[in-house]
Amino acid sequence: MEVFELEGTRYTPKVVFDVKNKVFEISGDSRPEDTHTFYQVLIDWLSKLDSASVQGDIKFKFAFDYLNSSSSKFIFKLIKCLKDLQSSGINFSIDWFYDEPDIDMKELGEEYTELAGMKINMISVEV
Amino acid sequence: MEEFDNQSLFNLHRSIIKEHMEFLYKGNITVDVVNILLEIVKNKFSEFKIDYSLQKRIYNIAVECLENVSDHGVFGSDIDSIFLIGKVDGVFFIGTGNIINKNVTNSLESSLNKINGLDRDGLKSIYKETMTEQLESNSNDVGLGLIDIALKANNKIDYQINSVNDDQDFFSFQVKINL
Repeated sequence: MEVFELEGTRYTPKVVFDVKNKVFEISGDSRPEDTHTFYQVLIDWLSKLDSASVQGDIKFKFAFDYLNSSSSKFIFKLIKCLKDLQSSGINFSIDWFYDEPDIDMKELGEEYTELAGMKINMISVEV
Repeated sequence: MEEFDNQSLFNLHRSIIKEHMEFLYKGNITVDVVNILLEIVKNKFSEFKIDYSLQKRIYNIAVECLENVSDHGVFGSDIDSIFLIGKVDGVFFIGTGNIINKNVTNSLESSLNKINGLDRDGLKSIYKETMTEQLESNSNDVGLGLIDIALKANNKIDYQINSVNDDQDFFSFQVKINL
């Protein structure tokens, strides 16, 4: 339960969920062939976290280069899962990284903020 | 049938240039082919000499267009699909053509007409609605990708449907990418 890791590929993002070192990150390109299954595995793993094992302030970092519309749907589901975990006492804060010229990626992060009703820190990265 | 000689090849090349095609593919568009075509699209960017932001938008739209064909087109049809990227007066366009079953034609047309009737704010709002609805119903219908294309292209979607037989239509789809 301590660590969940996936290497990134050309079509799927790199994933690191490391409870001990408090690193939670999804980054890279996301257009998996089966988006539902890919993200459901992540959501199921995260759903099992509890406030006894995950203490202190945790930053959850999203840093996508590219994601397709199908991924955007399941990332929203994952963010809702993080909101539930917040309610259960895990102190997640969410950082949404986007390349500075990539307005679409920025707007998507803003839409999640509105849709999920939770604070997401927007962080622009110079290209 | 007329022989395809070198004059035909020359004429074909001329007409591809005349129609402002930068890249053209004809064949089955499977998941594996999508991956290959997207690599080619990425490689073309250095040739196009366009900025990072436009590269990302073209790539995004190409992904959604190709995934629409590979996910929703009729696989194994006798009639091949096509994918193209072109540029007229500095404006890029992306097009696809593929076979669809007639039983999806009406719903596809109604989705496209609805999307074309919306302004940017309307599209953003329907994107959020569709995302939420599809998560709740666990569906993977075509809507979200089409809305995404219209948003990223910042333009209307141009489409045409031609009947090819009693059960199938050829669906031509094109979008210009406004700066």
